[in-house]
Amino acid sequence: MAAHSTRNWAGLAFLGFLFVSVAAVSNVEDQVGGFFKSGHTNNWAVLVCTSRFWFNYRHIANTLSVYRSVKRLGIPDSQIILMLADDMACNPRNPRPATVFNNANQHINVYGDDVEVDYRGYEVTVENFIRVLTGRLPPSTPRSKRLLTDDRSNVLVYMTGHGGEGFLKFQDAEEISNVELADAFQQMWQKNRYHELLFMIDTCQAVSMYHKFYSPNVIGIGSAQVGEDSLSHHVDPSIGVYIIDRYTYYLLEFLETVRPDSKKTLADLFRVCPKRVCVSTPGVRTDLFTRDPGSVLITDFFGSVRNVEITTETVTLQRNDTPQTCR
Amino acid sequence: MAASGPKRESRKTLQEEEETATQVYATLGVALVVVVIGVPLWWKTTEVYRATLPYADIGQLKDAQVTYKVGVEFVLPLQTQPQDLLDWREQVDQHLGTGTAYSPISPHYDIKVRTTNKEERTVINQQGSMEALDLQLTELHPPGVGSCTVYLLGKDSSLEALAYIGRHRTAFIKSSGDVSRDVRISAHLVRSYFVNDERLKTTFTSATGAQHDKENIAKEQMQAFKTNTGYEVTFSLLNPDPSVLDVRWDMEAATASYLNPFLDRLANIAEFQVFSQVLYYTDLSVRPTRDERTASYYLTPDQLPHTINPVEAKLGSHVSTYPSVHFLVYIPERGHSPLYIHNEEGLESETNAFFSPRWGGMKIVNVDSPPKNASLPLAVTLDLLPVMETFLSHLRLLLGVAQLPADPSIVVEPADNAAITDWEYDHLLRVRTVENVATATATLASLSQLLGEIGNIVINDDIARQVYLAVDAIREAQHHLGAGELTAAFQASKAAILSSEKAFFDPSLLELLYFPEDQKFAIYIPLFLPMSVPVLMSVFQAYRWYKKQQNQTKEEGKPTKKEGKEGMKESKKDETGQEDDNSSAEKKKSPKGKKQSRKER
Repeated sequence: MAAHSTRNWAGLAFLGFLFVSVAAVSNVEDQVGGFFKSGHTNNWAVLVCTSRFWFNYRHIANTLSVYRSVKRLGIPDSQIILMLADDMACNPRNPRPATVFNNANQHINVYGDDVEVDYRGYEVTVENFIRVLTGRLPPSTPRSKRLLTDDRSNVLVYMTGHGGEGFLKFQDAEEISNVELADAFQQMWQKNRYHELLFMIDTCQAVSMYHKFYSPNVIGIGSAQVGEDSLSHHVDPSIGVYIIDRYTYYLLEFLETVRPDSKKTLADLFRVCPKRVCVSTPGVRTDLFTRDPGSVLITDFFGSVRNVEITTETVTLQRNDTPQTCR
Repeated sequence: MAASGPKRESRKTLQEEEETATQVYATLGVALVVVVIGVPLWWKTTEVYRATLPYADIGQLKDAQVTYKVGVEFVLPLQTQPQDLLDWREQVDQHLGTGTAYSPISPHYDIKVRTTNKEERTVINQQGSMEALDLQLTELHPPGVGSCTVYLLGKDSSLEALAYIGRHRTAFIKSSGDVSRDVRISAHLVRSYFVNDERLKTTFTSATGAQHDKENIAKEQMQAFKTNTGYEVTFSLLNPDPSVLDVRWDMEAATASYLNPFLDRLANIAEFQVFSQVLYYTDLSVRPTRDERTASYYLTPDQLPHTINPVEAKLGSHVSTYPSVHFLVYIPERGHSPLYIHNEEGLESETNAFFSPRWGGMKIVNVDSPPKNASLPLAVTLDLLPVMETFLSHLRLLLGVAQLPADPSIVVEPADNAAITDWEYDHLLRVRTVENVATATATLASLSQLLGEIGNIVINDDIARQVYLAVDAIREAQHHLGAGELTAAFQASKAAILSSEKAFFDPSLLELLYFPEDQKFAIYIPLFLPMSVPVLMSVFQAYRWYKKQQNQTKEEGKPTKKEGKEGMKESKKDETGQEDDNSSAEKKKSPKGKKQSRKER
């Protein structure tokens, strides 16, 4: 009888312990919840166009479309790494110098008024790209060319160019394979260089580029399945070449409707450019991602909405007007 | 004819035999060169150079338990009974004991309990203010960096609250007469205020890499920058309408008077670079709402995040790679003045300022609008005292100075113009040390794991050297922490983090170009196929020849045994063959012997 009651007490105590620990956890979440709902404090974007030459006008327009959107949604230039051959706006063949348009009607000049290209022309190489991601840059590299992310950074990586199954070509000279890309993301993860990462790629057989990923908290979006080409949208007769790819055209159209305080989620983003307009079939990979994409705001990746806290108390200083030497 | 025919034939075969033998030897020679020189050379030249790293030591560091020693001294009044003194000792040990539960980081309290000495009694009996008491006792008996002293005051002392924590490393408790109660309160002061065990623990565990563990997210940690060797602090004055107001500030003097005492105090922890700038025609891109009742304007909490981004692009580029801390003072334009920040309840915020984690802060300063007939622009000089008060409190949060729970029964003396008390400084130093040790260990562990996962990364000797340095520095830091030498521990942990980061981010540590297996095959085939086919073929032929020879010796051996059994007939016929072979070597005998024995059959 005595033994029985002891066991009961032990059971009760255990239950009590469980209750207390559960309460403690939810308390922490409450405390964190209001302030840091998404768990990130800053946003970064790495936008890469891996093509050059006039006939690849559309890839530059793709990258600039995303650049324009993230900048408009609040990521400052200091947190955007733009890798671009940048040979379109001032190309002698461009009938409208210093502009890059996303469509023949010239609705949106994606080149804009201020474009800060961090890696230009022949600097767009696989090596530089991997170095930017992993942070293994020579000490002399200026701050604007570094990806200074931390464990609370959400990173958007957008790439476009000519690719095939498992690789993306860099300026006709070299290529990056999906294994190298996956390893680079793993190296970022190991050093706490991102909190969540959205990888988006507009190229032929795009989804093959995210197949090899194995690092946590990564979402992959590709414009075409393996075996499919990613197609361009339309030709501008005055320019004479295709001026934008279908996927990015509809992506830009979608992002133009997003405002910094918009409540649109990643689930809306996944529906951009269905097969009927895209011709290719966009793919999504979310198995490495822990949150529900339907509850993740677009602006968690494409914008930068900071967490703020109103200050309630301050330190008290004694007035000290005696002049002192400045350090 | 019949006799000479076979003879010539045998001579011919003899020559052939010799040629085959030479061929075989040549083949073996070439194959030997390929195997002994060629393969190792190829292996050596295509090998990825990897210096040896102390993998075992890194694994050991990762699993090592970190302890930190804290010297605590409890000083009781002279009239304490010897029995009470013993009770104190026993109960304090109990309260500050670490228990048996395993934790990756645990404190080790070095406890002393004694009664006051004569000098201390004279000071205590003076009945001055608590602040003076604190100062005098600290001067009399200064506790070392990282340790603390708790005085138990008599019931008749001037202390009104339950407990008082001074600016230095001393706390006072008003005796209640009940030993266990006094002990409990003093242990609480030590644990939750001076040392803050819990925070050290969460900092340590989250820095070791369990970063997405929800339970470990501490708000303080997300607000503060991760440990860094330096910071770039920029103060910006935003004046959207300089044609109306000509706002000036004497930032240089304010920095010298208010900011430098704080930064000087932290000079050991990090290096600070301070800049200031005035930006004209920079306004907030959000529209404030007008409050008709008070004829003022206000911003809601939802709008605040959107005020920073548009401004940020104009704050200028940064020179160093240190994280930049931004503090903005915004002067509202005439049309939106006065401008206030409303909190969640819709009330005006007293400070009119807000803070953004790992970024900085912003304060809206309302200045009087120029009177109607004043000549514009009206010159205004800002009073920077309230501004610096706000920004110093932001800077404290950003650097990770502990935020303490408000407890009305415990009076905490606020810091003087240095904006940080001695014990807060100790805590910060300890947190940063623990964080550095954990981060450096985690970096090394990630590095060794990565190098294991990704085979084709070159590890050169310089990286190996940095890794060894980091391992040594981590050990040193752990040792100093365990011995309670906080400053030395911090310096060692700083060295550890510098070396480990340097090793991890070394530009040479770049994955070599990845080749899928089929591509490797495609590269080697044109190189190796033309060379290896003849070698392999002739090796195969040599093998066949050798096999044949083996069979021959076997068969030659067998017939000689059979000879005896089968009779003379065979042996007689064999003689002719044996005569021919007299001169030749035994090896060559055997194939011929075989031929003949076949003929016989």
